[in-house]
Order: sequence, then structure tokens, then C-alpha cells
Amino acid sequence: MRRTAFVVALAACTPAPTAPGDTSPDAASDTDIPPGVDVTLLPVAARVHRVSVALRQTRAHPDDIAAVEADPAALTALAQSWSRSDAFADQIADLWAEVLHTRSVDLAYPELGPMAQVPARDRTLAAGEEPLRLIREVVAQGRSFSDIFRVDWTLLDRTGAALWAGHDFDPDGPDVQQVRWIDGRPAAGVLSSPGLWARHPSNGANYHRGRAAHVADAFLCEDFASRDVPIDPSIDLADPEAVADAVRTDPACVSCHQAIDPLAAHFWPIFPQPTPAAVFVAYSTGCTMPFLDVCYPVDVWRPEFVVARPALGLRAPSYFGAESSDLRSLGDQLAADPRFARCAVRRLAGWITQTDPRDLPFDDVARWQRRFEDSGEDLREVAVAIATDPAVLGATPADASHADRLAGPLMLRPRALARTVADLTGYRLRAELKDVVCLASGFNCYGAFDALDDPFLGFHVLAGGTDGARALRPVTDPTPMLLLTQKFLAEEAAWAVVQSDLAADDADRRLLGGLADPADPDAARPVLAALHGRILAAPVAPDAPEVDALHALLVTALAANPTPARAWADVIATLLRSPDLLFY
Amino acid sequence: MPSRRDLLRGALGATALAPFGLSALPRAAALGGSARRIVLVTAFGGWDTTVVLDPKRTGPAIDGPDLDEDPTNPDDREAVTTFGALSVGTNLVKRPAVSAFFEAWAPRTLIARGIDVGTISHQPARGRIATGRREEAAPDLAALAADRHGRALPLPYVDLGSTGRPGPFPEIAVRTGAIGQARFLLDRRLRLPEPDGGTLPHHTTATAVEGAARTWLAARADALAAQEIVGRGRGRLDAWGAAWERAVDLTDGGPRIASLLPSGLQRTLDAQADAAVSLLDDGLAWCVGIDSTLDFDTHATNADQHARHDTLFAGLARLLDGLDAASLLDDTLVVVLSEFGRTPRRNEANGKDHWPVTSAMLLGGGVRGGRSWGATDDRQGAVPVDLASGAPDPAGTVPRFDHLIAGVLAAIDVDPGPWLPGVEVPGGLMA
Repeated sequence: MRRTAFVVALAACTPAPTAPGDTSPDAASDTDIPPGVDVTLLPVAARVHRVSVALRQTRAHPDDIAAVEADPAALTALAQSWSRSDAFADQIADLWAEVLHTRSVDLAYPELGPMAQVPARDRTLAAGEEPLRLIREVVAQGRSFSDIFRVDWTLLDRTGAALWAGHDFDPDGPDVQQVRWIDGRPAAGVLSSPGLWARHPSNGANYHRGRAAHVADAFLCEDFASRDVPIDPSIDLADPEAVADAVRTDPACVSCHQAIDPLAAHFWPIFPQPTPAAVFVAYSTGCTMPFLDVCYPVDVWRPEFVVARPALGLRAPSYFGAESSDLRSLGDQLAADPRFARCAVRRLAGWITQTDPRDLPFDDVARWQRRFEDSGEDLREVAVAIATDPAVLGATPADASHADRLAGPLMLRPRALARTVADLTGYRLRAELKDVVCLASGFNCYGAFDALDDPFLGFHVLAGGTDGARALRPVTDPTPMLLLTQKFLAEEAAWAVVQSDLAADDADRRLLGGLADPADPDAARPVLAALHGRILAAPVAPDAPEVDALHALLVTALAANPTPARAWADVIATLLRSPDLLFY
Repeated sequence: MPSRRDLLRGALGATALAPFGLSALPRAAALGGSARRIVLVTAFGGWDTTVVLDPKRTGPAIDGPDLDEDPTNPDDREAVTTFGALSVGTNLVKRPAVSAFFEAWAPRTLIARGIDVGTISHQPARGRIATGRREEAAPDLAALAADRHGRALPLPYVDLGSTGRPGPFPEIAVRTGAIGQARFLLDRRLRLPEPDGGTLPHHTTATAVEGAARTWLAARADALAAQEIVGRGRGRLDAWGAAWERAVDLTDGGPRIASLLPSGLQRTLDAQADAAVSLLDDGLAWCVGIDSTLDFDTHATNADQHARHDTLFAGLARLLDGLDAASLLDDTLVVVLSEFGRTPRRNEANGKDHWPVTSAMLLGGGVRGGRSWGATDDRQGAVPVDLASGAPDPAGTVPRFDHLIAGVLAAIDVDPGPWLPGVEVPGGLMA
């Protein structure tokens, strides 16, 4: 008889209290004050910018600010429209990438079989983006957020379609398609996701407990994995039966295993190791291994594995003591669990306010959770409520001791920095490192990428982003490398926009409208004032001291550069490097 | 007299390279107290301590590495070899680099055994073993050392492996990226290919303009900071200035720094070790984080532990050789960590799973080597010890991850009290 090593003994599984919100207005507005905190709101322009960046990752346009100055209630309407934007939906994917860790180099599938000609970046992102696309689409459609456990579809790109088996992707259709699983797996939304379970494989004798712990953490904010593991010295770890008995009867083990093991039992039909390494091994053996053939397309749905669970004496599926059977019923249980609503709100609020979700004030979360429930679990509505809440838009509290009740100031994440600069200049910093990551064959290059977006080879991680494997915590404070990234981006964007603007008709220019003679500093004041207003979100008059400083900079630049265009690029780059651009 | 920062600010471009060699950084003789640089090497995945660090042979409750011996090869034999008072697991066929390492460096090596991490989940364990705390956001010991001793340097904490935890000190930590892409930010002379066949950069601020630009930017930051804005994020505004000062330094000295960073997809342990030595030797960094890039998570084939250990110790030997050749070893503490150990017995796949007891290695500066601290029993459980000495004591305390970090911090002149309140500081870990 083979030995089964003692593996998971997770402790103390008492569910957290499920207290709902106490009292709160239904919708945030300028008069919607957090309980017990009286605040002075930010100036109107700053408020509009903060809501705009929070929801769509770009600054507000002057027309938006003017509209809110004329009618403060217009902010809510603007926020509503911004929450319906692609940029907001993209943020939802970014948020869940940090939670699920699926945007990860750990999912770099090998360039074998049908993947032989696929760029490495596509092979790496195809698996991990699939569950993120599903979540993004549920939110973008305005569906109940708990539908992430209920929809009978997911979204695959062409590479993902070649990677995974069991779907109805149309090879003649678009590159990204909504597909259904046709292999019998339950319609359980993200719980049926091959990408999610590839990133979170089940190792050795873990028997899917790690997957269960990840589900509890990601969707319920119940962190089993961080709890201490007591090892009972009286248990003979060499005896698999003693171990199996201990997880059922030893109080130190049972306190956790009675919750985690039945949760883990739901995942037995999912192949334990649909990983890049397993694919590599499968190809090396000619794709002939019984049960372990995970050559492309990888077959993740393996209901035949379920029979092994009772044979090992492991618990049957249930949900924290409630009856449950398969992934679909698990999804229904998760959707109905009050911890899911609170956790979803905490994660979204933590993202928007750049605060550890666990550190958010309870009554703020309760207020937003009420909004979540009242809106039919529409995460867009919750985002609007959070972004327009005085806890986010407050400048100073009446009581200084309440300063920590306010979220701001906030800082652009790498992708938001890229979007903001692109919105101003039209420029995206793109690269392709062929010399670094191409094989001798000339195929299998990494592919082109946006340097601020790409978590692997770009500047995303250097500027505070995550990579789903090593750098798992975002940095939302300024760092030297963030500022160097900003400088690089600013200089390239400035040069790009100067070139395009000077070649364009005045009416079509992005930033240099009204600039008749780039070499004449005396005529530049109106243009410099406009740049100040547009890039720094701080309108000034042409004779203002702020323009004096920019004018002096321009004069220096004109003297130092070979062409006026270069000089203007220096000035615009300096503006784009400003901390005003970084903070909102 | 101008400060170092004044000098750097005033000297742009190539002329600024000289101050980075300043090496205003005090050398061995000038270092005060027990302050030491840190090289933090992470060997993630969870190493099997029975193979080398805490040698155990197959018995009633433990499957040792001897199970992998090739009976047809008389040289492929597991042994417990003693160097001074330090016993380690060796195999001249499967792990020759291990033997070579200890033959050279055992006198500078302490192995702390029987450290209870209290979890068998990778992420929490990685945090605990590096920070001594349970909170994900806590700073690791290198960040704390850099904060205490390295702030005057351009790169207090260089994170070559992206595994560092800067905690509340992000402004002093620098990630360099999976392929060393920080080089493109640090040295704008390097050409970054574009998809259309061109190369970046197309534009950099003229040297004669950069000074004026910096003055303008500093004024903007002052104006921003002067605003009466409060909130949980207020610290971000204040942190901009510190990050900005470092960014200025890095801009001016960037080409030299960039030349020292490992690059390309093959970011090996050896390459990182060489870079660490160079960064310390040039007086650029106080702490360097290295990711071994070895995956010790051998659920399926525990025999893979042999090769992992062999590569790890070859890299560590290269690191210590380099530090020694640069006369840095006495002032540099190398800390080698893995988040947990592996189960005493093998599983059905001949692998080993996660086990909440591990070992750690302290090498180099200030370490009274050739010995171990702490112990495990015949079931690979952590045994109670007298924390003052590390000697087994039934009435003592089971050493935890927080004890380990507290002991290291205290030994390098970082007060562990504020970070690990109430944690008893063990003795005997270093001297």
C-alpha cells in the first residue's frame, strides 16, 4: 500500500460574522456623509478628476468639470456613464487579476504542437485572461455579480481555444468568442474555468484543498491558508490511515478540515495539474500516458477522477455544513453567502480607495454593501457609490482625528498612467524584445507589448504592478522606478504628440493648438497656459506666475535643443512628469 | 560643503558616474557596530531539509534522500558529513556542489533548524519566513536593514528577483524586472526595440534642460504637499519627495547601475550573485534580494531536490567567493530562506508535500559558523530549545519564524521591537 503523506491541516474555521450594514443612505451624493464624520469636500475639479480616474483610469475633460461646476448633481450622471465604459470593465479584470493571480508567468504554456507558432506572450496570457474576461463581461453587462458563478459561458481567444478542450469555439469566428462548455462540466461560471484551475493546481496529496482555500479567500475573504497549522505529535504521520482518521477526528485537524475538505470535494472532477509543466511532460512521452495525457487541447474536465475520493476516505461535497453536490451547487451556495457580497464590496472598495480591503472602515463597507444588494449586485453601481462617497471625495474632516476615514490622495496605477498619458497625447509605449526572447528558429518570439501593461517584460511590475507569480502585492506609493517609468513614458509621449501636432492642422492638434511659431517664445504664453490646464488639470491665465515658470523652461529648452520641436517636447515631457499627473 | 545629493544633482550625465564610485560607503574597518549589508536569497517552493540542511535518513517516520541511491553505483551514496560541529547531508554524485560549498564555507555557515512557520500555504509562509510577521504587507528583513542602514545609498534595497517585500518603505526598494528591464529606465542610451522595427528612446530631455525641469518639478511637488489634503493616502504625497530624490540619483548614475544588472531571460542564480556582489562592491546598494529561480516544490518527484540543492549551493559558493574577493564578506550577512520544509514521508507520487517546519542558513558577516542552532526530532518536528542558545530543552520554546527574524534583526543592529513586539529575541544565532 502506498503511503499518503500528511498534508493539509488548516486550523480554526469559524466563519466570520455576517453582520449587514447598519444604516446608510441608498445613494451617495454631496450630502452623503459617512456616519460620524463631517468632511469638507475636495474642490469641484479635484472631485471630478478623482471620480473619473477611479472609474475609467483617465482624468476628466474640461467640459466635464464645467458641467459639474454648473450643476453638482451632474457628477453622479457622469460617474454612471464612466462606470459603463470599457476602461471600467478593464479595471475589473485588473482587480481580479490581483486576486486570482492568473495573469502569471506560471501559465507560460510550451511552444509545442498547435502552439509551436504562437508568440510566448499569447501563450502566457491565454489561460489566465479567460477567467478575467468572464468576470469582466459579467460586470460590463450589468448582470448580478454572483453570476460569475452561474453563467454557462466563458470567453476564449484563439490561443485559448487551442489550449483547452471541451468548448464550442468557432474557428471561423472572431478572435475572442463567448463559448460554452460541451464536455458535460456544470455551468458554474468562473468555477468551471480551466485558466483558474491551471493557475491553482492541486498538488500531491493536497486533494484540492488548496483550490478550496483559494475559493474561500478570493470570493468570501475567508483566509484559511494564513491560519496556523498545529501538528499533533501523537499522530503517526507515516500511517496514511492515521492521517485520514486525524483529519476526521482529531480536534486540532477537524476544526478546519470539516470545512475545507467538503469544499475541496467539489473540485475532484477538475484535472489536478493542467499546468505548463504537465503539458511539457505529456508531449515528452508522446501524449500516451493514461489519465495524464494533457497534450493540447488540454482536457481539464475529468469526472472519472471522482471515484478516487471516497476510496481515499475523504469527505463528500458540502458547503460549510450545507448540502451541496457539484460545481454548480457550489456556485449557488457562494452566491447566496452573505460573506460573498461583503467580500466583493471590500475588494472593489479596496481597489478604488487603494486600501487593504481588510483595513476599510466597517461602516463604509456596510453602506456600500447595502448598495450592492439594492442594485441587484451590479458592481458598476457600487463603484459609482464608492467613487462619489464623501469618504473618497473628502478633503478634510471637521474632526482631525478622523483623517484616516478619508481615502485620498490616490495614485495612478501603471495602467492608469498609460491610459492617462494616452488620453492626453495619443501615445502608448510599445516594445518588442526580439533579441532577448526569441529562439533561434525565429518563431516563438514574445510578441509586441505595451510596456506599462505587460506584467512580464515591461515596466508594469517596476512601476508597482503585480505579475501573478512573484510580485503579488501592488505598490500604490511612489517609488523611484515608478518615477523613472513616468519619465520614460513622458519623454516619448511628448515627442510623439509634438511631432503629430506640428504636422496637423491647428484644429486637429491635441496639445499645441494655437501655436503658430514654435520658435517664438513670446507668442507661447497662451499655449503654455493651455498645457498647464490640460495636463495638470489646473487652468491658469497666460499672465499667471505658473506660466512664467513654464515660459522660462521653454526659453531654456529652445536654447538647448537643435529644433523648436525638441524644445516643446522637453516642456511637455516635464509637465507629464509632474506629480500633479500622478496623484488624483 | 555640498552633500552627496548636491553633488549628484549638479553633475548630470556621464560626469555623474564618478560620485557613485565614491565609495563613501564605509568599508569593513569603518562600519560601526554590527551593521551589516544583507543579501537575501529565497529558495522558494519549500526545500526538503532532510537532504542537506537537517540530514535525516530513512527510518520509521522519515523517508530520507537515501531512497534515491542507485544501487548499481557505489559512489551514489548518501552520507552525513561533519564540518566542524556542523553536520550536513552530502552525496558526491548527486550533489557535489554541496560538499564543495561546505568544504570552503562551513566555518562561515550557521544552519538554524526546527523553525516552525505555522502554515503550509506558500504565500503566507513566504511572508512569515522573510518578515517574521503574519501580515502580508509587512517588510522583510532586508527592507528593515535597508531602512536602518542603507538610506544614504542610491539603492538601499535592490530586488533582483521581484520577491522582496518593501512594506512601508517602497521608496527605498527597487525592482529590476524579470529580464532586467530596469536597465532601459536607468540607461537611456540602451535601445529598446519597437514593434515596427524602430528603437526607443526617440527623445530624452536635453541635459541643459533637465536641471530646470527638476527645479520646476520640485516646486510642483512642494505646492502639492502644501495643500491641506488629508486621508489614508496622505503619506503618498509625502513619499513622492523621497522617491523623487532617489529617482534623480538613479537617473544620473543609471548607466553604471544598469551595467551591473543581470539581463535576459536566463536570470540565473549565478548572474544574480554576480550582480549582488557588484552592486555592493560599488557602494550602490545596502541590501540585495535574490530569487534562486529554483522550484523546490517537489510534490511529484522528490528526487529533484538533489539537483535543486546542487544548483543552489553552487550559486551560494559563487556569491560567497565574490563577496570574499571583494573584501565584503565580513560586513555582509547572507540569509538563505525557504518558506517551509517538506513532509517526512513521500506521497503516492514519490514526491513530498508541504511541512510547516523548516531550516534557514546564515552565512558570512558576523556569523560564528560551523554549527547549527535548534533541532528537529525523529519525526521532523520542531523541538523546544533554550532560545538563548538554541540548545534543545524540553522546557524551552519551539522556535518560530518570528524568533528567527528577531534574532537576525538584532544581530545586524536593527531593533526588532517595533516590528516584532513581544517576540523574544533568541541568542546564539550569529555569534
